Amino acid sequence: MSVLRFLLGWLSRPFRDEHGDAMLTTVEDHWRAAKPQLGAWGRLTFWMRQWTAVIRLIIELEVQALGASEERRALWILGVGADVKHSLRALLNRPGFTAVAVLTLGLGVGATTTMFSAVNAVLLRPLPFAGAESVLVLEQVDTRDGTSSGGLSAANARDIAGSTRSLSHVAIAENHGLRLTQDGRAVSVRTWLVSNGFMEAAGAGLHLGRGFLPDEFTEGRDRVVLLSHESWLTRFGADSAVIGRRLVLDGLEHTVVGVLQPGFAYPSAAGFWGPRPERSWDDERRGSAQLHTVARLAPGVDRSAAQLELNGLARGLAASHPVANANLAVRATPLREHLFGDIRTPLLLLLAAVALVLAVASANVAGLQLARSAGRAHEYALRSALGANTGHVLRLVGVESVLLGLGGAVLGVLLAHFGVGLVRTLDPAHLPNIQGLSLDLTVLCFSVGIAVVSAVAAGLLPAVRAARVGPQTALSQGSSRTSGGLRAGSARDRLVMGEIAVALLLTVAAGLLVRSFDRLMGEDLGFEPEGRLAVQVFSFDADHRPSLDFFPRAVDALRALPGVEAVGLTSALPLADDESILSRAVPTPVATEDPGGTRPTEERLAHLSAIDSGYATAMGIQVLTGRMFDSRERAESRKVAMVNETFARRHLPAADPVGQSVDLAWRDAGALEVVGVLADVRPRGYESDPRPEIFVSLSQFPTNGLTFVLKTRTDPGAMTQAVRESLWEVDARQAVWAARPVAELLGGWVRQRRFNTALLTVFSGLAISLAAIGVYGLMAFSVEQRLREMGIRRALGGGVMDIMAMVMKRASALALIGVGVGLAASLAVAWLLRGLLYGIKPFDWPTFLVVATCMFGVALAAAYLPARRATKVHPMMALRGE
Amino acid sequence: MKSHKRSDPDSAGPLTHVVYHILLALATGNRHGYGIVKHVSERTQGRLTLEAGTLYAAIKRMKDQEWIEEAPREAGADSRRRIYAITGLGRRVLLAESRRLEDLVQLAREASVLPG
Repeated sequence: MSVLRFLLGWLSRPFRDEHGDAMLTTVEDHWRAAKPQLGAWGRLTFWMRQWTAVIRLIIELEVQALGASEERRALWILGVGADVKHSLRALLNRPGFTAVAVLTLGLGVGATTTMFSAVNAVLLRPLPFAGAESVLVLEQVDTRDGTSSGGLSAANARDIAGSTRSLSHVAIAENHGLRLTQDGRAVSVRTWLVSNGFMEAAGAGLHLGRGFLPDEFTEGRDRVVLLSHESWLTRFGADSAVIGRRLVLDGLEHTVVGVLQPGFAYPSAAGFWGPRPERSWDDERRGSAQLHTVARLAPGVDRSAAQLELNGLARGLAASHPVANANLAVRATPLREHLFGDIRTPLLLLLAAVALVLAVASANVAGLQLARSAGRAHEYALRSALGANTGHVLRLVGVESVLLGLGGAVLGVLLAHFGVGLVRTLDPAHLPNIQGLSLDLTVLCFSVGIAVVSAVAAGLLPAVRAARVGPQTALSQGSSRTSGGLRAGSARDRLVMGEIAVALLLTVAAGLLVRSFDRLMGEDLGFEPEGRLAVQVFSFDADHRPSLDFFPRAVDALRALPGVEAVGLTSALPLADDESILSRAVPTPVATEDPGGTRPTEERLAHLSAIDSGYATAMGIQVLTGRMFDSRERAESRKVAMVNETFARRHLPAADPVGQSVDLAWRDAGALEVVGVLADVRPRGYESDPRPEIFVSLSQFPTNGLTFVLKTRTDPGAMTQAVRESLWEVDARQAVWAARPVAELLGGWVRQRRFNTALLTVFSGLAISLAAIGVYGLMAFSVEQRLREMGIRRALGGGVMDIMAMVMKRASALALIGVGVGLAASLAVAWLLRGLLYGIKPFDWPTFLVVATCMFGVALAAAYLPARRATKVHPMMALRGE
Repeated sequence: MKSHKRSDPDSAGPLTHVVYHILLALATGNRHGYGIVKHVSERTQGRLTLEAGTLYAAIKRMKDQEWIEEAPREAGADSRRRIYAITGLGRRVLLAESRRLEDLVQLAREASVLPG
């Protein structure tokens, strides 16, 4: 509204007086009526359209006002045409200036466009959900500390759906794997089992077929599936006859009823969506609140009203189920925030950083324009003297700036084309929708817009200045050689100091991130991620009952594969991200016993996993004391356990943990003797701390969901197909759930950090180069302006070094002030970044010192060339030039 | 500008579609700015949504030509909302334009472009 009011202010007076208020009320009325139905994108378009229409109106009225008669209108248009011609000629006559200006602008615009295209793809484009703005994600939070459980339990979700008035749909989704048997072989397909109302709540659209019918959410009638658009393309060859086809899933016939719209991958990418009937065990598991829950606001209800109602419902649920629902609260998060909340801040920080790069570029162009306008003051003055008014001079400069801006935009878009490719190679898988990263119309409009705005902004300051200079002043100075004046000089000085400060600030930020990244990569993971392949299998027999005898046979088969050095098995792989490999480490109460019996037995939580005898070797985890599990562990032999270092240190402080006993409250484990201690591992990559862990032997506690770890001699990724074939040879019914190199899993945990660090480094490099160009340009210009003075100094016996010192002194002064201002600003930025740092303090003085020194050095180096040129001036040359 | 005033309704066309839709909206009753926007948007199933800038550019031109005029406000109405009404001349222009369009459609039928 404020932008509109501002624009209306530019309407010609009579029109504004007559229609201004009415226009404002019309837009207000329209906005009030349209707002509730519009998403973020729709709202933006609404205002863009209103603004453009007003701008068009302004131009139309201006053109009309310029001349009621056709001739005067034609003259004005011819004037602009002449300006364009004149400006083009002027720009081409100074190819050096034009090239540097266009190049500088192009670099800034290219970087900004690249970053904006990422922001556009991730944050701005509409989500592939109908009415996405009304979709909420519900999760249970603990009233004591606000930690989220990640979802709701089926029973709580059902009860909330039954009593809410503010939500039209509430539904859950359960992560599931369906084994699809094709040609006698089984493959695992990721599936979301969803409760009634899920598709309506999420706003999923259908590409083909129909959604689920209400009676398909009953046990026995639930053998129907929807395909994701992607699996329809890849698995079923985009065949529309797939509707009605029968597939054998988990050994049972299922019917394909529909294909979801392209891009719909919610709660995450999957091949199938199936109905989830209410289960007999839902009520027992009321306390296990991990099912992804989605809800849709009823028409006309806003989020705060829904949250208020949910607070009441949560209190009711806590009262009626005091044990399972102790400390229960339910939080509703808008879908967009749920999907993008984590990445919005870093992404916007990067956009801010690149905007600073653009600002430096604009400052450079402004500096160039200032230098030029000093030279052109004569021309402007002559024009004024001949009757051109300020408006005409401004129009001329405006036209020229727009032309420069367009040049910068063309170059910028070209550079952004490569930049986008570069961003893709950084593989920012943490950014949703990034596949859609492209230079679309929105992005193009954006870059042309910012290029022209920056160029005009850069040209305006010098133009206003030039237009203000009285013709007499300018003309009386005669030749432009001595002009330029003190004022233009000091403005350029300030611009260059600003550039140095901004470049320093970006470099400090990049430096801090690089140092953090370095520290992080230096951390010991406790295992070897390189050259390892992780393969997860959930094993079932012909009747779809968990099957246990598959694994020992499979391990033997895999060991026999060429290229495989070692094979191990675990129920919980470190680095498992749940997107591919599911981690099943269970927090389990453990009682430890002090051998002396001096302290009472105490229960603690440790993460429990089951491993086989080959696991430590295959993962490269060290056995610190005692022994690894081996063939002595059999189902009927005495039950034993291993612990990790942290567990031993915290819970078994006696001299030797080996031989002590731990009491596991899990299955029928009971008291286990500790036989060995494994080195600590970081379970969630570099940034996570080791936690107390306890291991049992798979021979004694078998389970059916396990991950093979293969230590390979060659590229582990290339082994995937051979491993699949080999497992099918053992048992064709068994499906691989996921196969990923362990290093790739690790990559997932550092990807976002690497992405931020790499981009910020590129941006700071750009800013430094631009600032260096700025310093060079300024010094070269001032040397050129003072050639005569230098010549006289030389003629009067001034030494080469004196002149060199004079130039360098000025450059050092500029650089010092710029660095000082930049350092002060960097302190604030470092504080903002503190959440992204690792292993260093925000005020990491070595970074500050190194960056400040480098920046100073770069500034002096940039000033050196012009300074040397000054010393080469022959006294006679300079004087003769007059 | 003055010379365009009170032009002969039969030679006023063809009208821009914005002008035509505004005249149509006002032909069925006096409306204020957003009233016109809403009516046009409803009648065209949202295919034509007028921005304030476009609307008032047209209103100014149509007022200059005296195709529409400002209607007296009802007592107690919001003073910022101006109500517009179609004039007799405006009705004749609308009628002339509608006839012209009808003739065009007739030609299309004769050429079997449209089903007759």
